Amino acid sequence: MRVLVVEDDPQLRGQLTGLLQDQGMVVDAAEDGREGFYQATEYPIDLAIIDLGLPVLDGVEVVRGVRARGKRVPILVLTARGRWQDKVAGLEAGADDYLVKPVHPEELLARVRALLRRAGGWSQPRMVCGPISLDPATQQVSLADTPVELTAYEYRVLEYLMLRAGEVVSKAALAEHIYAEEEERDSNVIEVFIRRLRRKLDPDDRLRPIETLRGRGYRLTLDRRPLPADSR
Amino acid sequence: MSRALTPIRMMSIRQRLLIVAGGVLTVFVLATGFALERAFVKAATQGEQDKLKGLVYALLGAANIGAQGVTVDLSQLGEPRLLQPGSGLDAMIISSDGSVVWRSPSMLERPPPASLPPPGEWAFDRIVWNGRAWFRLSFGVRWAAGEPVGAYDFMVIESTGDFSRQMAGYRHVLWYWLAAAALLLLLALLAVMQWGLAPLKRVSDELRRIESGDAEILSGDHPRELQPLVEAINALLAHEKARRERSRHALDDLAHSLKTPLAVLRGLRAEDGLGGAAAKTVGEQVMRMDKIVAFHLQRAEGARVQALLPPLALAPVVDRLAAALERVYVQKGIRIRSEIPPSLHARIDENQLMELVGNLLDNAAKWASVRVRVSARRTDIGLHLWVEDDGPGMVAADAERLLARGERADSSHPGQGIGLAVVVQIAADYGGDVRIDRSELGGAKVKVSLRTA
Repeated sequence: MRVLVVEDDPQLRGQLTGLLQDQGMVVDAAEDGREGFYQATEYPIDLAIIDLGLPVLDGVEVVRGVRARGKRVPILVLTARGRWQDKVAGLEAGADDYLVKPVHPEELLARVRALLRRAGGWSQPRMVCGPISLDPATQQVSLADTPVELTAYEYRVLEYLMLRAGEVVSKAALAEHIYAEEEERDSNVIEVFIRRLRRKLDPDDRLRPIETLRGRGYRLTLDRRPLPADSR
Repeated sequence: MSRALTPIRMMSIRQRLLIVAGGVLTVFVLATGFALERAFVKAATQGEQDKLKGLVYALLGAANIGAQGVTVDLSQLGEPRLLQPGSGLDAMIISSDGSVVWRSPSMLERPPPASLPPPGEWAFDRIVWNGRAWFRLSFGVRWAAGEPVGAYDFMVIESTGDFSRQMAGYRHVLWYWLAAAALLLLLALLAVMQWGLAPLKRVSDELRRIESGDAEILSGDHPRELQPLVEAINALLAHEKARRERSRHALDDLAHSLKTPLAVLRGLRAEDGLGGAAAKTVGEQVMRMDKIVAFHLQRAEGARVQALLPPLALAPVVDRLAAALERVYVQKGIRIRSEIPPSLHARIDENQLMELVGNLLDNAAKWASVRVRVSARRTDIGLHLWVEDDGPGMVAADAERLLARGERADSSHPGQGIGLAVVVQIAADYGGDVRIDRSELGGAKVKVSLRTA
């Protein structure tokens, strides 16, 4: 998952970045509205956290601009005042949720996960495809109720594929979503991750959870299993 | 309050001017009429007296008193009415013993009593005789032009009929024209008042436009007397606006510069060297500080001079909030139905209304399973707003504690939002209150009453 954080206070920006990275997310950070708008429209992000009180370009303008470009990425806005005028302005500009500063780390993560799930069409906190189950909150993966040990990158690849279960995800897109902008990328490594995932999730080679579409990418073939809807 | 009970100091300027001008005008017209009438009566009476004097002189010239009695040469009198019986003008000569020694042919009835003034003196008066009113002029004469020497009263009387008719005619003309003049003056006065009070009316019209939000300040061109007042009001309006903006900016700055460090403190983790009990204490205290700050920031929202608030349509504000919140709670599938008539307006600051309804709807959406309903109605004791949900509802004790006066955000329990505390405060600002009940939808029903909105 690749998340953009647009916050002008360096300390808070650092904290938010650290918090999200600890959850296995790739984080891009911007310190003003113009930079944030550029990254939100140019980088393949999965979610944006945008402070409303930004220098250079106001947060509401950033949100409006991103939506005007046709980007449907989930946006969570942060407001210092907590005024309903501000919240409504942010939501009307196209944000999906808001949080009032100072944000509680657990609450921020819960909202981020909920927005990511929502974008992937999932309604419950735990994603289940066939016998494979993945809980983004604990980052635990299990196969038929047996825990499966994954490395950080393997987890990121699986999470991204499960979030978009049924959709074709290109190798390049996978690389972009699991690596930060400045990291060295090697799409061959993706193949290695996929191979390892197949071995761990389908040791008997019967389930075949990840399909390779030559020249196009990968697809998680297992059916999504709906669970009873949770609250937000 | 009925008109009859309006105290004098609250009477309108127009009423005051009308009452005073009407009173003065009435007194003036009456006094003028009375004086003119008096002057005319005096002049006419003098005229009558002079006329009768002329006749007495003629009678003196025509009379001859000798031993054989009194003779009057009628041809010398020069007044035909004295010869015409019953003409209403009679002359007579009365001797000092009161007996009539001569009377004009015009005299048909018994002569009136003589006033017998001393010789050489005049006596003029009005008498009633034979059922009619008369002017009477007597002149005392000592006749020494022969024998017998004696004192006589030369007397002329004339009926007042002509005089009264003349007076009536005069009076008619006088009061007719005075009434016309009074009416004209009154109309002129009304016109002057209209013109003179027009600037005041303009100021009050402009104030109304400011109230309704169509204008920001009073226009600049007013009469010299009102200019200081207009400038003072404009200065006040500008000051109020500037103060509001300044405080809003100050609050924004405060929010930003206070909340970001709070957010940083809250984000501190074990890796940053903060752990265990210290982390817990810092976390709790930061949360407490945050609630105090948030409460006072939301509380400070709005608080405009209510008299200058334009009427605000409720439905569009509620619809905006509902749409925004449905977006937030889309995963839960929350439907917020607004049953607020589009015509419903209230004198409430838009920011305060947003805080009020936003907090209520957010709370309801949080607890609801899918349905939230918001409705509003105006009664003669104010504006009422209901927000209901189909959630689990609220225990009465909790509701009471939440709404208790003095229950402030900084004393509330961890995990509890400041939303309701803000709602209670805003309701109090508008002389109202908040009640929590059970909704027919199954969940809580929060009723907010705003008396002055």
